[in-house]
Amino acid sequence: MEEQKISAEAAAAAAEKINQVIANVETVIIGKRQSVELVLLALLAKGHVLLEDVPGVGKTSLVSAIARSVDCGFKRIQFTPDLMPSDVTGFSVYNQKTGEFEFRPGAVMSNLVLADETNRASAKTQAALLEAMEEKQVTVDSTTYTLDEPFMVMATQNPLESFGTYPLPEAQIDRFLIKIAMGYPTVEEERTIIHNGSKAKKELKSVITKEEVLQLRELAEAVFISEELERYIVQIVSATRSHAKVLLGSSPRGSIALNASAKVLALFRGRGYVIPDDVKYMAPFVLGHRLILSHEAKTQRISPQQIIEEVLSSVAVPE
Amino acid sequence: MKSFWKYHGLEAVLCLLAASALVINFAEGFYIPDWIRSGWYVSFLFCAVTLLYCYLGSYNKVTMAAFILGFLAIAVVFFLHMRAAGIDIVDTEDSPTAVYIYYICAPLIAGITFLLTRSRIGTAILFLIGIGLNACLTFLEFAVHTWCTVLFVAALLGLFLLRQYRRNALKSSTVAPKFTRFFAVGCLVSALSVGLALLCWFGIVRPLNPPTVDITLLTKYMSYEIFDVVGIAQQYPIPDDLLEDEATDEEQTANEEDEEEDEDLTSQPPEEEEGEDTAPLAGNSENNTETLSSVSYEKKMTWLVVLIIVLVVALLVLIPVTRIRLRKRRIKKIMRGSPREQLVGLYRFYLSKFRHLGCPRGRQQTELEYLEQNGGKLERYLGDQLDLEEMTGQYLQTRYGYADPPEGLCQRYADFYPAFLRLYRKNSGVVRYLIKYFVL
Repeated sequence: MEEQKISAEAAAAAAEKINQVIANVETVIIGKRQSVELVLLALLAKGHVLLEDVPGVGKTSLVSAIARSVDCGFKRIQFTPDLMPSDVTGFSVYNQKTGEFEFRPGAVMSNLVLADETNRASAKTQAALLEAMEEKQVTVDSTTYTLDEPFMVMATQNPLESFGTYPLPEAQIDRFLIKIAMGYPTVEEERTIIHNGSKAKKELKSVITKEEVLQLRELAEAVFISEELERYIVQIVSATRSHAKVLLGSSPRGSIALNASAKVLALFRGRGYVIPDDVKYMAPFVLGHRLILSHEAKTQRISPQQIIEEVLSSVAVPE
Repeated sequence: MKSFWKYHGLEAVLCLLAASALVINFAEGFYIPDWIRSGWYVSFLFCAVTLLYCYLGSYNKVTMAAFILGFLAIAVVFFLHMRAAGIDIVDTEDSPTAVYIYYICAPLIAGITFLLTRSRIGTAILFLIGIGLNACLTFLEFAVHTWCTVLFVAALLGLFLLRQYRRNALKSSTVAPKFTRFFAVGCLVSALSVGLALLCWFGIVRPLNPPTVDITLLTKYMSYEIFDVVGIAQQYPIPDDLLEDEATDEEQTANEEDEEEDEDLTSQPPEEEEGEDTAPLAGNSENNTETLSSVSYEKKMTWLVVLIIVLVVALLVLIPVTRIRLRKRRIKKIMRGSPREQLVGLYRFYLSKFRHLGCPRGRQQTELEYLEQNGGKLERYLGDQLDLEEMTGQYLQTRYGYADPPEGLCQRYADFYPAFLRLYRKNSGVVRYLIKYFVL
């Protein structure tokens, strides 16, 4: 079967549109282009994002800015220990007038969902959200509700505080397409942030519609990837499984995620085809959080990103 | 301990082979019993025990200290025993205690082999020592085993490759080659080099260089004199009739003569040669000048010189012609394919040339990473006629995309090759250009 190929012009137009969104978000989020790009990339790759960093670096602002830039439904859930699964998925209430049960949609019934401080809710509530993420549907009282596309969960968590938190299990972290750490801004960036204040956030307008997002998703799926590069992706993921300092390497879900994100990145760069650099660029963001490091690596304070770098420097690029 | 042996297994075997080969040849230089000298398994066993001791001792610092103390204790006990038993290790044929020199030297050689093979430089030094020792023994006409020399060289080359692999490949930040492939290629190249060297030695140097054999004979006779003066051996001068035989028999090679002389000399009774100790050598130089120059070297060398000159001239003419033809053929072969194949082939062709300019592409390096790292360095060799950035972009589009390259682009890249060579010559100088001539 002949694969659908996108023209250079279509790829360039898509890149231009994406750059518009990025530029719009950057009016609020100063100096974090990479993070903005990665969140948008996850949106177009039909994935979800986990933002992990210390409080106050702009995780929630970033997600809000992206949600405002995209003309889609947006809901926010503040995860707390007493949050119930039904608060996330929705619940049925008895209507005394009609004498029937009515479904009240939960916070997850939206296009863009911000799950703030995910690790503060109980494991049961986390599981309810993660099920919705994976299946793109929720089941309440034996009725299945399909979630509206585009659907993306942007979860944040604070890595420092451990009191009263329920860390996400590795198996559940695996369901996020990418994991991002924002990091502190530079001195000049921070000066610009305090200078701008909250004015820019209020003036932020949407620059892309839901339909356009869906079109871009279709375009991203049509990005061409050669067989050699598919093999290269599998080799990288396989290498994480046999690395001496990794207890559990990435699953095939990691290969799928790396393939999808490399395609979207190619579109970001205005190309209708993937090159090895796209795969190499995305690997640390897509595979890092999927690795369970050995005790030895943990005691040596080796980060998953270092392991991925080692893997990338050991796997031969297709000639 | 298991991982220790895993990494040192092959090394131990090679070390044992090198040490045994050295000891077997070394033993030929002494008057020790035949069952030791000719029985290779004795030397093998001696070396195996010594090396096992060394390897066990090198496990960690504590074992190292313990084993050094143990070695010193064994040495002291051994020498005390020798002193108490009144053992004299004078190396003469009829001394029953001469074997003790073997008991001292064999473990020492094995120990030195172990210590020197710990590093690449040590391995190279051991190679020089071993080859020098074998050369000395050969020069003094002792029966050196060729197979031992070859085994020694091969084992040391193997050890050197192993060290090289550990030093470079395993610690490299780039992709490490598979050890089996690295080792096999290394061994093959080494075997070819050793084979070529042996071929040159046995096929060219020995047959065409009789003066060396004559000098060997002279040196051997002189060494007999020295042994006689020192008093550790009796002198067996050459009888005159034997020298006359040598002078008349031009067909016999000098090496064969030497072996015959050995047999004859040892059968002569010592009483008969008194007062004639310098006669054979003096007689050769004064009375019979042809004795040691029975082969006409000038005639033999003339055709060899002519042959070499012809070969050199032929090579000087043929190599550039062949090189130019091969270059043209390769470009033509690339240009025979589809536009996509042409561009991919040309990019790889230039990449192979850039490798020789000191800009190799690592296996883990992408095309854009390569461009970023080497684009600046290669600029002066490409001038304004070839833009590496443009070429890389076109290559990526063709290789990983689905579009064919623009028309005429491949031809432009192919036509650039002579200009590339000119630019290289201009920027690097004629000397460098000539050095790289065969690979560019």
